[in-house]
Amino acid sequence: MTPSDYPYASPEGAKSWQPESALAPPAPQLDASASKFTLHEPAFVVPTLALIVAMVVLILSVFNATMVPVAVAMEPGPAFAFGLGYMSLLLGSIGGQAAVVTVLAVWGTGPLWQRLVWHWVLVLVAFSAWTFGFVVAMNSQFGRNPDFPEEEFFTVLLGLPLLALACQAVPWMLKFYFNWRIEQEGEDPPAADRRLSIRDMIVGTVVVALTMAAVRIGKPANAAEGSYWMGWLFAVATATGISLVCLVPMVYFTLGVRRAWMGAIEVAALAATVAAVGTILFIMLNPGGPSDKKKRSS
Amino acid sequence: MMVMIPAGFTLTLCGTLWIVRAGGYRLATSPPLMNPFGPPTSAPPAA
Repeated sequence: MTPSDYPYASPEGAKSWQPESALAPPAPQLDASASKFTLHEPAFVVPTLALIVAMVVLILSVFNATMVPVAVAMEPGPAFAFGLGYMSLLLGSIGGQAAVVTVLAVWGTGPLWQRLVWHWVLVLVAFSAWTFGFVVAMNSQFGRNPDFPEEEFFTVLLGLPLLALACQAVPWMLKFYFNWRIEQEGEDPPAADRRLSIRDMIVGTVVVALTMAAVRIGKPANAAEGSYWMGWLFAVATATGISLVCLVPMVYFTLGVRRAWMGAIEVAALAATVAAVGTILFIMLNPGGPSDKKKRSS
Repeated sequence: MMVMIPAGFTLTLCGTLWIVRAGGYRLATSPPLMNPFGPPTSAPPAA
């Protein structure tokens, strides 16, 4: 309907009852086809960061598989110290693998659900490799007791999401409030990418809900309620503490500093400090070695 | 033993991140965002 069609239109010269824009000739229609719009988030892409992390985890998974067999094969002797050192190095490496997948899930690029898929596929690969070594060691060495500890295995497996969230707690805070992100140098994503989308919030809520449900399901039938949850509380506090003290500073010293050599020195200093504090705590919590016990008994 | 655990952690994490750094990635930060759940704002003009 145009103003001229209106049956009670004012005569010519009277004050117009419509704004000027309505009397103007219609503007050309904008082409609003979907292909004209660019989305904030790219379509499914394989980021280089994810590929690098995947390669590292795949290679280290081979070593994860050797952990339990080496532990079973260790016997008192000259090689014992080397075996213990290898086991300790591997234990730290497993923590490092958890750290790199955490970095990928929290600070990587791309939609959250894709980063979570990468994260959990890599976690399951590393855990499966360790489990493979465990099964092989059981079948070879523990022939007397070949029963697979299914209940404990599922407790650990179902608790992995909670440990992952504990590792990610501090990094998520830094992402939310200080906008930490790992991106190509010089890249400047649109502002909308820096905030949580509604889909991200829904995915996050579902992840937390499923995590708590998984821990609840994983509780062994004979475990006391209080000690079971206290155990997980200790594990969560430890993972969060390691994330805060080691993961965050190391990521900053490695990717956040301008000079790589300066970052390497800072990383080495931090690792040495953590090792020294860990050694002191270990000695304080385990007073007296075998020689001391022998002295005390004699 | 207590030395090798941090060593394994550091070598794995920082080794991976140094490869990432060599690929041209960096840690980017911004001024604190007080409300990450709010509506998006317009991007600041490029310098």
